[in-house]
Amino acid sequence: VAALDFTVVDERTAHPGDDLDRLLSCWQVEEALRKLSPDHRVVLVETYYRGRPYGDVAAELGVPVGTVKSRVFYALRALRLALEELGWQE
Amino acid sequence: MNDDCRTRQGDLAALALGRLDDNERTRLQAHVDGCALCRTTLYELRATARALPYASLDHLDIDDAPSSDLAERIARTARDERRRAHRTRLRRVGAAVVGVAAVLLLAVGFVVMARDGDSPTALQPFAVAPNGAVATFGLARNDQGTKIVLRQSGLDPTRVYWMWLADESGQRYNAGTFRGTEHEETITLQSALPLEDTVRVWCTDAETGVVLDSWVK
Repeated sequence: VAALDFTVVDERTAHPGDDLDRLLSCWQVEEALRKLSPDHRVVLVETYYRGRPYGDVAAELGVPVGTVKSRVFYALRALRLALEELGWQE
Repeated sequence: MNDDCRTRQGDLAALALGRLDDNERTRLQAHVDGCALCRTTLYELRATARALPYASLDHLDIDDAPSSDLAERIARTARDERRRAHRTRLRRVGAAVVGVAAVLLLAVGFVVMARDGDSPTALQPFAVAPNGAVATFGLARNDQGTKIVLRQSGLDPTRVYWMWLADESGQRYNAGTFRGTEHEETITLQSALPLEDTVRVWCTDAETGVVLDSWVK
């Protein structure tokens, strides 16, 4: 019986929830970044997202390069906690 | 964590973000290789660093207000997901309907087949037939007994004929009546005698008695 020989084909090759999962991840990270203190957030924004040298950021902020490095370290620690609060799954 | 490790925290973060040059990375890696605590710290920092690409500077307002287009992005994606889910549901419902219809067709076909029984045997001529008449028959088993397919032409259209089946004991079973036709015609008749018990097929009329006759076993 030819009518029985059917196949349900999803036109999408990716899992239908992939886009929503990615959007949720974007929201979690952006929200976690907003929860950081301004000092922590600014060093991540300037060094990671804008790719500026640590020295330039240090000069702009009027702090030693070591302080920028230290702030980046604590910013990442704080970001990890904020992500965990938002249900982030690695 | 000792003071030596504490002084390396900033460099560990820079290493996790890929911001150390080759010399700095080599020196720090030599320490990390021999320090379980720093290895754990670096592992956690790298795990957090892997989340950073999910945020975009374009969407990351520095003020505390949520990204202005975040709600729209979520709503748009949710709408797309709903449309996809709706299409998928429709496809599945359609497939289910097709499947159910196919099953029903199979069931109806099975019932019809069970009612009609097997396909008739190949038509064979009657051993006895009047001059000018051509008659063949086929038999098929069904749940009522035996179905007789009769194809004939040249029998007297003014006469009524009786079809009979008989078993080995000579017991005869009526299979119905039909009228002769000058042109070829195929009709189906029914008898209560099971096919496996049928040994003879014949027709009679009121005047001449046996008109068509054949033994099947």
